[in-house]
Amino acid sequence: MLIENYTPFVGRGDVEEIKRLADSIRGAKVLHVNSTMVGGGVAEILHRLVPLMNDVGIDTDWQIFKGDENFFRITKKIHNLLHLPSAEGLDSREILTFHDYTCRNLGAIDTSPYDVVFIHDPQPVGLIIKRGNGQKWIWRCHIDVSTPTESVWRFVQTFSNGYDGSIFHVPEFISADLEIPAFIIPPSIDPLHDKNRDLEEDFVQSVLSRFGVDPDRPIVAQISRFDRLKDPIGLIRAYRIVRKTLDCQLLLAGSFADDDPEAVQVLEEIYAEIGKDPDIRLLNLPANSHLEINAFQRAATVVVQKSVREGFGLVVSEAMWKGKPVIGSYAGGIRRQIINESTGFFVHSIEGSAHRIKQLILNRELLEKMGRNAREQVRHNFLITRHLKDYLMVVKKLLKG
Amino acid sequence: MILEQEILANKNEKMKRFIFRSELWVTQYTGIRVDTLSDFRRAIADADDDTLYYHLFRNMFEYHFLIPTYSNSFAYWFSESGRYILAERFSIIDPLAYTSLNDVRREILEILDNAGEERRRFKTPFYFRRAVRDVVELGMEARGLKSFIKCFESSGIYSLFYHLVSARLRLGAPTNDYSEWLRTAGQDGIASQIEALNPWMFDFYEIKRFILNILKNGSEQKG
Repeated sequence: MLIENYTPFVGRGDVEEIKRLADSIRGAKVLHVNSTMVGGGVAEILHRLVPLMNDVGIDTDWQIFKGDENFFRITKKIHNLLHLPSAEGLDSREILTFHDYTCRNLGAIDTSPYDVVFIHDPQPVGLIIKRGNGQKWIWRCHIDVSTPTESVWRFVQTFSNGYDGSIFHVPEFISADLEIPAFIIPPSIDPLHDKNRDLEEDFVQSVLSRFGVDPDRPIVAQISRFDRLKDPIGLIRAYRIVRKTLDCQLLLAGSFADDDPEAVQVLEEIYAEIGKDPDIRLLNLPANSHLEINAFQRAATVVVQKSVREGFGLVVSEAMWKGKPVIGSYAGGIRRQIINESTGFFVHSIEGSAHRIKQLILNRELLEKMGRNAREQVRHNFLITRHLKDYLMVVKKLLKG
Repeated sequence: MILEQEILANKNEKMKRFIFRSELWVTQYTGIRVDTLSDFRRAIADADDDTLYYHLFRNMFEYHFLIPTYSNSFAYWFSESGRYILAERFSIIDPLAYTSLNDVRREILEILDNAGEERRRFKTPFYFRRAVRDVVELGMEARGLKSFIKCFESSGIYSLFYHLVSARLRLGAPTNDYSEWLRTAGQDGIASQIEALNPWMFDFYEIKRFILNILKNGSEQKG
């Protein structure tokens, strides 16, 4: 069985629990619907979770809600307006387009054979119109809607209120006026994914050499999109404070999104801040550079996630899984992943970041102890097996009360 | 409901076999978010048992690989807002010293009443959540000490939590499932040693190791 592949990571007990839990709801048919088969965290997790649910005996399908460029422009706008308050709203044309695509997909997606339907994010939320008698529908919201644009949230609520329940990453992401039950299920990483699987030391070394990173000096790394909200400039300044008394390198690695015009500007700002410092490597990698990112995280001495604002920030768990303590800001889901002074440190300033970077580079014992704790934290709370167990629990709760 | 079924199942199984089970949780948000002491007190007074259970045991259940600084999520919230005295007063609350969560609630309310009425807002809100619990049988059962040790070794940490920690509230007595069964199997000495373990003071891997040692030593002495 596929699930058995996870035994080396979580132990026989955990795998057995999942199998027994699945046995208790055997016969249930489950459907997941989202709006893309590739790209983004939701598709990535469904590629892993759907086969696992089938593997443990829950008949699970995955269907795609289809739209065109115009529809996705509108749903991107909805996404942004749910994320932050704005004076802007949806105009009547946009609302009609949203309804139009909902109607088209109502005919294309057959939800009738399923006992439980998971609808991911706002794009397919209108499918709730199809909810049949005895079915249970769950809205899985991957967005922080704690401070939404009121009019857009009201629009989404006309649909979401029809669901039997919802799922959010953390309670802090939930709007105060949500009217349906909400489960809290954080996202997860897959230890078997190229991003996270064990790598041969030779491969790690070859990646460092390919990108001109010195394997013999401490490496401070931040893996993130080129976005001001990730505060790359703040991290460079923290690194410069450290560099005054300590020999080390800074590695900023991320992917460049073609459809993000701001990223070009941010990249230029970072280059300007770096100047001619030969010890800062800024790497703009192709989006599928999973093995390279994996290698950088493994080679790093200290990993930093100095975001000003963050969604869940699973990159923190990815680094922790590799036994790295993470120095992170107290933002979004980072708060949930780092246990302060145990698996890493929370920092609130450039100076605080510099202090903790120095501390971890100089104190090998602390570094290793925190790294061990960090891996354990992920093992127990942020691996896909926990995610699978949570979904099975929700299915059971909905079907059996 | 689950608890009643468990108690009944437990009584019927006495003197027979030990069925290894495991406890599973998924978290549900109650919709109650507070950021003042007086609202916190009101929410505690109204909270259902699954909510109290979640916050009292969450650190042990989710972070069983660590010895947390504070024993429950209430204490952590106070600490994050710089209310260290309240954090420490909450952290010393031992729900395992009680036989019902209502008694724990009374202790919490007493601490809050002594803290006085306060309307100052906390740095971050407290989100009341509840544990939606389920118990599964692991397909392992013991009829003697040898098979008990074998099953115990292969059971997971959440099974340990179920039999050692949540058992106390379920049984309504200062014992646990392991000790109860070991007594019926004539292993009073081993049973008492396991009862004496304090699960708040060690991480769960250590606790598991301690129990395994107790069981193996007891088994050798008998053998």
